[in-house]
Amino acid sequence: MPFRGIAQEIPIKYTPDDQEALQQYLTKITNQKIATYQGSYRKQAEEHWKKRTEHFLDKITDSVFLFDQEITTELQPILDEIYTSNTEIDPSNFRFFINQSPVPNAACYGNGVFDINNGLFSLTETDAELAFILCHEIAHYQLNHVELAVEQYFDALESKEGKAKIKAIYKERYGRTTKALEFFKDFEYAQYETSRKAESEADSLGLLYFKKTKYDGSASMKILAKLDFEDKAILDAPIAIEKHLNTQEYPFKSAWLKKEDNTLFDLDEVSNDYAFDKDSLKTHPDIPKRLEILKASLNTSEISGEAKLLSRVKLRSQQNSITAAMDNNKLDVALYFLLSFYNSEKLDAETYYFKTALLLRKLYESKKGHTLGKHVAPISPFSDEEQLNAIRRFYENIELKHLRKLGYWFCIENKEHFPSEEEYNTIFKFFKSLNPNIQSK
Amino acid sequence: MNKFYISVLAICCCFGAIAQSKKINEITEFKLRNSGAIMTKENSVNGYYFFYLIDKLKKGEAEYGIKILDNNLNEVALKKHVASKHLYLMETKFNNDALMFSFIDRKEKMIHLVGYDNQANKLKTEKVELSKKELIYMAQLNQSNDYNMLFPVPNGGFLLNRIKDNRKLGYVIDYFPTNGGKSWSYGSPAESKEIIMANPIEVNERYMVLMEFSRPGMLSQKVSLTTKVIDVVTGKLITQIDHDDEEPKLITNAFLDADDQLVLLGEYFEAVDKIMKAESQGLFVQVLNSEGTVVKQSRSSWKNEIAPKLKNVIEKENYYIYFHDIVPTANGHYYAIGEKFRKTASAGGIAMAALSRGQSPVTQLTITDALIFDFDADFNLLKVDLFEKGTSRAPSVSDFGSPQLNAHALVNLGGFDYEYTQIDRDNDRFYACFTDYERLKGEKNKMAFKTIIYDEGEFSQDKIYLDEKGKFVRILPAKIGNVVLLEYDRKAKELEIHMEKLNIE
Repeated sequence: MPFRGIAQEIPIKYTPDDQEALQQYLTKITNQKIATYQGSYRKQAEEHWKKRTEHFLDKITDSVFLFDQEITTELQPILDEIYTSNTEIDPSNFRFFINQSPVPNAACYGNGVFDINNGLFSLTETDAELAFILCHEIAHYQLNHVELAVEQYFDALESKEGKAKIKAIYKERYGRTTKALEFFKDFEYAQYETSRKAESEADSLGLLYFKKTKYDGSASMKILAKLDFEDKAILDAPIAIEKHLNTQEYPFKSAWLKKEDNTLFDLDEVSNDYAFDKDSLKTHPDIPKRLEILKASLNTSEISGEAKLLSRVKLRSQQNSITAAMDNNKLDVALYFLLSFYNSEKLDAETYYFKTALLLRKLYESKKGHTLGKHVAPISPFSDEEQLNAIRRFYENIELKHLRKLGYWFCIENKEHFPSEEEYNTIFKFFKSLNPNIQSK
Repeated sequence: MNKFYISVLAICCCFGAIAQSKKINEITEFKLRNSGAIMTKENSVNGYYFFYLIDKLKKGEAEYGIKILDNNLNEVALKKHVASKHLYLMETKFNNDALMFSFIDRKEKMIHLVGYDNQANKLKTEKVELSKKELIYMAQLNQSNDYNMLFPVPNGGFLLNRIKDNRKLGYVIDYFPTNGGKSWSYGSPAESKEIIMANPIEVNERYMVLMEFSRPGMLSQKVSLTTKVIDVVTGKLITQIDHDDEEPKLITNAFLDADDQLVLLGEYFEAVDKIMKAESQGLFVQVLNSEGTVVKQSRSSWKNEIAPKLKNVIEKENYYIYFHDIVPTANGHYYAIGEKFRKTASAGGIAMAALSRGQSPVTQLTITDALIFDFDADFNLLKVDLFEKGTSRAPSVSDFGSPQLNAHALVNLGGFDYEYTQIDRDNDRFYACFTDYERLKGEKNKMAFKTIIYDEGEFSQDKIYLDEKGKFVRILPAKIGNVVLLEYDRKAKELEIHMEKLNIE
């Protein structure tokens, strides 16, 4: 079902309505973490949790989170189902934030704060799939994984032994950096090993919580399998850019998608003589291994779950994906969502044409002001994100003289699809002023 | 495999600020020795390099790191290199097949050529010994803008241009293949009674075109020019063209066209004129085949052909024009890119001359607008376009000699506003870049990076201001049609690096 973005559009909020309450909440949970600290590094622990809170507040200032009451409200019944089915969980300090990232992911901060990336809603198809992910994150909290990782960090660097090792390296006259890198490598490997173990534990406990809910257990395997991006792109929906940005009067030029053939090396990944072992730096066990473990604990047959609550969240999330990317000048991601949603009929024509015309104007202004590169990443030779790369190539190849014509004809030929005359005129006037010599029909 | 960073369903830890982690970061911080762009002969950029000192090692050695970014600013390699602690990076070039770094070991008096193949694997390091005198001269030459040590031979290897301490100073060009083939050396005669220097001005897969300058002594104003065409595969001399006193020429550009014909462009002088002293008579183009036979030549004199057409563009007559580059386009035209300048007295220069007992020049060069001359295939001047630019002044290098000679010397010191010209052969475009100090009415004057773009037979301009809104901007060259902006926010003390396309509107 395509969402009708314009009629229902509510501007995104990047700061909470209850900013004071949020501040109080963060102060309360930070103080609790410090007060209940049981280890040997009290001073460092206090510093750590305070810095972490500052960092989190900086993220809010940087518009990393979306404060969307509709999504929060829709999520609550799923969370309630988890809490009522697992009374050992005390959610009184929990607060779930929506991170605007398009990458499907979620995270536990260890102090009651969790975040769910907006991109996760496009990947999950049922309430049950989302519920399993929430159970997994809550399991991290219940198992004190963040505290354990922090303690391991203190043991390695702040202990008497750790400090002595660092001091000895510092005093070395020859090969000091190499020795420091070796020390750092051992520390990193140990941290990542702990992290992989923690993920397996969170899978197991998360599954136990999940199995007690009303949701179908097989959803855990389905969503985990979908999160395996080892051999595929994350934003892989077809965009058909040549079709959707083609106009009769100003046809799409194949040169706009031309690939560069000038590369220094022919490599599949960075050639780094100082790289650590990749497998040892994995934060998580491989998904196939995690699936095997889950399968052994599940007896249910595969049944499709329902998307009762999630369907509304997904629609809202789609709208947010476009708006947040536009608001933050991530014009490559914004065009990806516009094209992929419209191409798969998840987006109505009014929203698509109006927002795409707006985007073309924004693209023109960014290129004109030499600021596009601040927000749109260059094409990486190691990237598998082919759809996103096609957009980046288009942005790079299209000259301003072509873009102004494309914007002009895109508006004229799709005038009937714009939500209103006023919205059409707002954008068309801009492109008209750039093309004084074109006589419109 | 590179994509969005993803750690599926994570715990979130950050350990940025604890005391010990700061200390370990401090130790592992690589110390940057130098960095730069890996340029092509069209002034495009293949990538960027950062040369770090990583560690001091025993026995006078050091561990270095070479970080390489591609032309989109993506890190593609970080390579370890262990060598003498006296190593100094001179140049980096790419030949479509291998990447080559030339270093000088100042203590061992040796050139090291360190190359990487297309898989970023290190090639055999080549070493060339230098005498103390050669080392000193090469270090001096390296300070000048017009000395290039390393030249890529497309898909073949690299040419090393070095000073040779013969009876008098001479040169040697060494060829190091990276894709099979044999190495060779070509140089000036060991017993020559003249100082002979050389500069390869054009290299393709078949030929190297070498410009040889010879003079009896260091202070001699008699300079003889010879153009040599050498087979790049064998190192054998194919032909040489002596630019004798009958037809003195100053060759500013040379290239091999699609038919391997050598096209020479520059200024010509009257017979018996000394290039170092005289004022040039005009511009010339000369086309030679690979046997050295002149197949076409044309001239355009300042007085008869060029000046009448400049009347509409330049009002005053006491201006000179310095040509920085001459670009051929697909329609057979040549576009000469220059800057207008005149010689003026400088109050500061007079004061300096008094302080230095007359050794400092009292004149200066006043540099103004940019000019682009459009010549047809027969070198008939068709049109001159003027692009306004603020006035800038640079001290004259010497009070003696022609203003043009002073201008040539000033170019080597980076005294003009001209930065570089990029040639985009695929799209038949070129981008001539200048720094401009804009004098604006009613607001503060602004420094700007200005680009004149030739596209589809027309010129347009693009401009980036270098100092505004509390930010300080520096421009680095980038791949064709792009620039890299280093934007420093004075208040936040943050440096932002991003690549932007130059706009054709």
